[in-house]
Amino acid sequence: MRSVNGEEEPPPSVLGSWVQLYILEIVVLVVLVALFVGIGRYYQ
Amino acid sequence: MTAIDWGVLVGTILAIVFYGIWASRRTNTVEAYLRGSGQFGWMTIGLSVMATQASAITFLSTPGKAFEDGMGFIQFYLGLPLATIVVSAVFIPMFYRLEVYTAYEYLEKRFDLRMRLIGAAIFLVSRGIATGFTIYAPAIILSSILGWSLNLLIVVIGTLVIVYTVSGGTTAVSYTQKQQMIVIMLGMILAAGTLVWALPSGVDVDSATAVAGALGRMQFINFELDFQERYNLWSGLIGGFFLQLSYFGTDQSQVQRYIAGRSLVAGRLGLLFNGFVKIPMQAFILYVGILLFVFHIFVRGPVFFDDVRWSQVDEGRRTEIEEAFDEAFVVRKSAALAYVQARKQRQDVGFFAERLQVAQGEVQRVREQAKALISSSGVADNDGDYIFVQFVLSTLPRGLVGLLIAVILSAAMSSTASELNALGTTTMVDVFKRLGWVGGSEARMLLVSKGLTAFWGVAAIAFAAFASLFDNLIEVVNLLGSIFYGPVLGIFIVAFFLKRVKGRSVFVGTLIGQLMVFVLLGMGQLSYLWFNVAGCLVVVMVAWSVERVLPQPVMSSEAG
Repeated sequence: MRSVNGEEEPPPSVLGSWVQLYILEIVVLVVLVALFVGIGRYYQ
Repeated sequence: MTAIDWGVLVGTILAIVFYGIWASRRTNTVEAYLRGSGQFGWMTIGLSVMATQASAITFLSTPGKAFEDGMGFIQFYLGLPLATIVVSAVFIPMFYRLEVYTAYEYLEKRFDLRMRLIGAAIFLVSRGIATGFTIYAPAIILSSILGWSLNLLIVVIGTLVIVYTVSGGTTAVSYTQKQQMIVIMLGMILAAGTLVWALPSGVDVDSATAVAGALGRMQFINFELDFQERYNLWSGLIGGFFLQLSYFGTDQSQVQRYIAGRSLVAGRLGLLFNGFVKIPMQAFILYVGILLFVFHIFVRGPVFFDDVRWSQVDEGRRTEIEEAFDEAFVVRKSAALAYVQARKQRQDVGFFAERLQVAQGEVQRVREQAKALISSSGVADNDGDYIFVQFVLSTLPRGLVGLLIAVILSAAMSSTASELNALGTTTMVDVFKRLGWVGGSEARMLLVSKGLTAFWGVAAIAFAAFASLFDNLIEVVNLLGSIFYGPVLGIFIVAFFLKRVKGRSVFVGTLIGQLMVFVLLGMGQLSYLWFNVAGCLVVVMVAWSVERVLPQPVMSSEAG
């Protein structure tokens, strides 16, 4: 992704690349849904 | 409310207002006023985005929703992380690259002035009305519960917001929202802690959750694909994705938050941060409602949670219902205790769960009778928004009551501030400045920007005061958002992804897409989340088709 001045602008190195961050966000979403399903089954 | 509560309430609210004025005291250019001079880090942006979305009604209604229907409302937010990814990857870099003040400015650069004005007009109308409601909704509830004057409360909330929003613009809004989110989360955590502490001995969090589960309130996810069902996995993931994409990507009250970042990275990270924490935060607020539900299984609550409306119905009939509720409450409490005991002793809980469900059915039946009685007197019978605030006033210790009222007011003020800030900016940048209605020195432009923000503040107060004439305003506002969000998102999707489509085609697409949403609305067969999908897709498909069918003009004055 390019910034205003046209240079590559990655997130802080500790967070990896933008694509890795997006994948992490999707993984967190999937884990949360799985957790919700699990809690629902445990307490039904 | 005691003197300590008043001290905490007034101290918290005034501290935030004065901090906002102090933090933005050096705002003396139009750029700084409308865009915050690009000074905010990702955390400030993340909290600001979150505070803008979380209005007072979020904290009043959400626990009430869980109390009545369980955790299923969480599905409404499932599309949000996916939407923040798309906005972060596509929308924000484009807004930063073009250095726009508003999202609609981009539409002129990509299409033409007509599309920019359409985008701005839709935002000003729908958000202008919604801002009045952002003030009115908590004011009507607090005035009813606390016995304060409704109009006085509306004027106080509105004036406090106007003072720091007009004074410091985007800088004041973003800095105060950081403080407001801290107050809000602290208050909600303390409320949850009090609820756990107030459960009877022998009923811990696990047992309380099991009781809620036995009564069907711990079902988060519904996999069934039903287009009329308001919340299920699919409406949340697909409909919610489109709704949140439109909200975060095209609603100026949100766009203005993340374009104020000190860099593109800060803007993108701030929004992604919201994608990570929003669902856990909403799940926590819903769980407060679950704890509240279980708390009232062991501690008798009101049969109807709005005392004022309940006290206005026929006294004889009211007493009958109260007595029936007393009996049903005792039976349910004993069934719940037996269920908890059996579960702890690892017995087969099937029988106890069934007994508890029958007892809950009886309590529900009595509550329905109460609601029918309220309804028969010609007023709305929904008391869900009053459940949490009733608990705050009746159960929380001194000091915490003041803090929780401050939480509700902070939430109202944080959303309203973003909305006024965005309405003022859009009116200034997309209408007054673009159409040449205002010019001159920097000081004059700044003054006009402040004047327009103040105008929208006064308009919001006026609308909030006028809103009491409508019974079901919340439905009007929800509907209004869903009617327009889809087509507006469609315009932006075409702008970003269909580079060959020009202004005239997207204009036709917008008209037909909007018409389609009205038709769907009239048919009444679809849950409102799906309007966002339908409106967006129709605009994209029609714009693409029209561009292919219409002859290309020899000379085009359209941009981009």
